[in-house]
Amino acid sequence: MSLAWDKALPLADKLLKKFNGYVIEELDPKYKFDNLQFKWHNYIFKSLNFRHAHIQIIDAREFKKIWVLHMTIFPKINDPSPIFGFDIVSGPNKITGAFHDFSKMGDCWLDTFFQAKKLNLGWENSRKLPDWALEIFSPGMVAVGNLNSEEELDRLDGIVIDNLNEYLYNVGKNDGIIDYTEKQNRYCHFQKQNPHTPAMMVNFGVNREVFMQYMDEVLFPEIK
Amino acid sequence: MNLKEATAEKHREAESLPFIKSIFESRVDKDQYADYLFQLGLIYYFIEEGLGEKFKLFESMEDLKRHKGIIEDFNELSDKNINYIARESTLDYFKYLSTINDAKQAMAHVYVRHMGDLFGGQQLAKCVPGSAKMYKFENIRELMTTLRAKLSDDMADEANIAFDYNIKMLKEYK
Repeated sequence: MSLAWDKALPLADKLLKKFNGYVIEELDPKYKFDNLQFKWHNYIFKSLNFRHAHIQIIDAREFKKIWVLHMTIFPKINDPSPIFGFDIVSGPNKITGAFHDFSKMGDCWLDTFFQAKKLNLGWENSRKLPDWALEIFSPGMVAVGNLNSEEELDRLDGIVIDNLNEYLYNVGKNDGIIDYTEKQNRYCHFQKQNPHTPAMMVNFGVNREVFMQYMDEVLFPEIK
Repeated sequence: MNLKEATAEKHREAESLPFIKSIFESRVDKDQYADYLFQLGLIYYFIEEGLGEKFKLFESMEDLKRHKGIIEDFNELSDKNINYIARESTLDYFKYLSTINDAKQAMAHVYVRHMGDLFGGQQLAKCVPGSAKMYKFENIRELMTTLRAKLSDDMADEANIAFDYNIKMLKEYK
């Protein structure tokens, strides 16, 4: 029995179900490996309403007693909607880190909605953010660690699912004439400064060069 | 017609709604009221921090801001097992507020919400569950005078729109 995994895995299922009906983009075969000691799932979704949506699940529960979910939704380049981001890193007994943000691109009511809601629900951040993160995440970001009670985990589930509902319903409806390519690329650039992302995967046996390419093409795809 | 007269009909309509009646009669359901506070928290945040900052609406009347009190009331009354979500009427109002690009237009929403809190709030505070911190003002008369000086009769159309959105929010509750 693991409370953290018992909560985190169904949350991943719920997130995936929200994309029922969306077109699934095939992952490039060069990122599919059958000799890994853990499970690496990638779900990429296409839509006229957003540029790129991706859920990555690293299931290394048996291998390293860790389970990771990473999720981003990038709006279209002429949409001021924020970038939806959600990450969980979970051991068997607790979620060691949970990060959720609507990262600002342009002037969009979704940013204020996200901040208002976080204040309403009284989330207080317990994780200090590194410099690269401070460059791109919003002041209203949820950054918490050591979640190990049912109440905390349910609360996290509630806010993320509700925000995803609102986000998917509204993204793509705010198109304007301003081009946010530079801002989206800036977001990707700073995300790629996180040294933990490649370090963990290389430690798990993934070739560094291949993973760096995966970061460029799948995790944080900049617009060329 | 002045602002008060021009909005009197909508004001009456709002006050006659079952949810408001249940508040005035001190029989409002605690869970419904907590949910309503959650919705108000979202709206007040936008009016006070979004529009307020953009148009300097609360200059010289910072104490008029209610968001903090609403959150405190919500924290006191909310049930930790309930997942509070924004209702459709709240989102509609929230989205509408985001389209406002004029200070007078924005001030009309302060008139409907905050003037209402200043006037009716003292009575409401005695009827709602919990500590009712959202209705606790330090200097009501001074705030009323300062707010009145920022209002004008040409805000009536927008104030009626604000009433419409608030009425829709209230109709979510029986």
